[in-house]
Amino acid sequence: MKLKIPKIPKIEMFGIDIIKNMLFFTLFVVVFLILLGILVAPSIKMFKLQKREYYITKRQADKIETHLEDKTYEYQKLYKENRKVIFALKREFDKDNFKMFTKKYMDILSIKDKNISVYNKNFIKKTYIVSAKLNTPTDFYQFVDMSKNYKNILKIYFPIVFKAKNGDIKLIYKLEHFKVK
Amino acid sequence: MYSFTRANKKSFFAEDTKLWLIFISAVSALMILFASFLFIEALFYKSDIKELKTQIIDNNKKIEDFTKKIDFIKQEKQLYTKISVNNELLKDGVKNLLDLIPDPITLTNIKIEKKSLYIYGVTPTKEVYNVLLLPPLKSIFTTTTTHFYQMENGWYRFESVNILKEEQ
Amino acid sequence: MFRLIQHFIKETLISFYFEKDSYKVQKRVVKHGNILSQEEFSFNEDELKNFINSCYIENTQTYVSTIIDTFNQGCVDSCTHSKYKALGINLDNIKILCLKDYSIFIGLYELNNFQKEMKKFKVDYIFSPYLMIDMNKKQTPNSLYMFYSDSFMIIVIYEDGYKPKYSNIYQFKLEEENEIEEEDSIDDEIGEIDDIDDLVEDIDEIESLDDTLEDSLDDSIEESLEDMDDLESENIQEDITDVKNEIESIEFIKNSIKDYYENYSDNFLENAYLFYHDKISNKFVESIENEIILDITDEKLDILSIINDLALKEINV
Repeated sequence: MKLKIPKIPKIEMFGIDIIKNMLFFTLFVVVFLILLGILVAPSIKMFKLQKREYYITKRQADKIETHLEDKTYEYQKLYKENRKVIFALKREFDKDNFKMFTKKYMDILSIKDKNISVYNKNFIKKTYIVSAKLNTPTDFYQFVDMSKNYKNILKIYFPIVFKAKNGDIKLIYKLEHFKVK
Repeated sequence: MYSFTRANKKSFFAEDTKLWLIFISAVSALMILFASFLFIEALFYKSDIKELKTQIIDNNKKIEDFTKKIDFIKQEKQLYTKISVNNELLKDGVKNLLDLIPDPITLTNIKIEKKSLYIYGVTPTKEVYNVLLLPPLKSIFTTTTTHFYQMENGWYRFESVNILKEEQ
Repeated sequence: MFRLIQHFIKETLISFYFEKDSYKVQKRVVKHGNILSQEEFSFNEDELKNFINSCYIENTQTYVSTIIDTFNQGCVDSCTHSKYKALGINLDNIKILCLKDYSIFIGLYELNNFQKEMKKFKVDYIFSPYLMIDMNKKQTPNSLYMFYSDSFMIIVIYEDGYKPKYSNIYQFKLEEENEIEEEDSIDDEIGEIDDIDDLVEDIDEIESLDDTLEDSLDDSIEESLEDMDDLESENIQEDITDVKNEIESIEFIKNSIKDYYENYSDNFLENAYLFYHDKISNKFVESIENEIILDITDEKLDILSIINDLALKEINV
């Protein structure tokens, strides 16, 4: 049985079919609102969200970057300032070289190895007993003064023995050599 | 075919229908375009954020490394300073000690330890020793013990044992 | 798929042709082969233009069709070019439509001119008037078919009853109305002219009476007489044209049959059919019968419906 669809009256004003145009206008509005709600609004929301998050993260990243720059600069400065010490702490102790260095102040008779231990977790301390011959204690003082110019980091320590012998002084002292592990 | 001519093209839609459809399609296309544009921009931001986050992690690690290195250099410097000071103090200490010895007294052996001092020498008289050398020794060290041994020429050989005890 | 869509769409078919001084029009609305409505009208040129435009606005699927009545067209009982050459028809200037195994042709120049003229009516399909006959042929062999209208006459002869062997078209020359009045005498051989002369005399008598009467009744008689006067003068003009056409038609039929016997076939014609659109005078049919010595079966054809039927066939192809 065929349904009889009531015929929609065709109203025309100024040569324009009003009902048809009204329907199309309604369709336009519906399509527009649907697209707005489904596509445009969510994408605007997503865009704003991501943008905000981006700028927050960027600020954070920039802060950390400047922090890194400062740290790098600090490290480089410190390194430059302490180059001598850093390199000195890397070098091994050469007995012959040391003998040559101290020639001005004393005649080294022997350097005996005494001990090797770990100092402060990161360093190795090698202890030697040095016996030498010198003329006056002043030589010894000068030696101590000049030791800071030597290529190794050396600690001069007790026991220190001065023995008078045939016009010379025999000197025995403990020498501690420090090196990084 | 019976006709000499072909029919003109007939469109399914009237002119105004076509206009509306074109208009609605155009507006829809614009909206979709706009939404896609924003979506793509959002994706770009997302990838940038990911990049920045990895950068942050890397940089943090680098900062950690540098901090460790800086601390180590500081440690090294500290060690050096300590040793330098130690050497300087040692030198001054030894110098002061040796300067303490007055002229008349001659030393044969002096053993300087961290907390003790052994002096072996020769003095003309006991008094010279007791007046010139003993007081300063006494002031520095906790216990001072001296032994005298007479020599053939009237002078005395002395052995001085000086100990510095830790205060509790 | 297209067929499926066509099932649901409404088509408006408009057929028209020019008769005497106006356009006879049929508007048919079809949907899936079913006729929803059919109306007939008579318009002048502007009315027809507006009517067609309004039909287009109402329904975009509107098809306008008509027939072309120019002289340079005919039928040939074959589709091959060699047959055309054999008949001496120049292939360069014509358009050929092949219908199964026989064809109809038309001069390109005439077709293009006609198309240009018909552009104002947004014509989609232009059909040959020969199709009127071909669609209604009786399939009897050695048959002569004639179609008579106000503006032209066509003849088709079928030898085997199926393929048109011979065709010819004759256009009636249009003459001014004034000339017919001023024409002194028409050929005495035709009896009808005497009747017209008598009528003219009668009217003169009535007019002289007119002047002396003063009653209102007489006035009304005067008015109705004046109306009759106009009608009759028109009718006179029409009748004169009709008679002229009939005379020319018979001449045309005679010549065509002669041409057929001389150049196309040796077989004698056995049947004759006369198709017409509006009305035909029995006297005219008799005259032709006397001339061709054959019994004529006359039949009225609804031209406008036939044109729309052809248009529908075209659309559904």
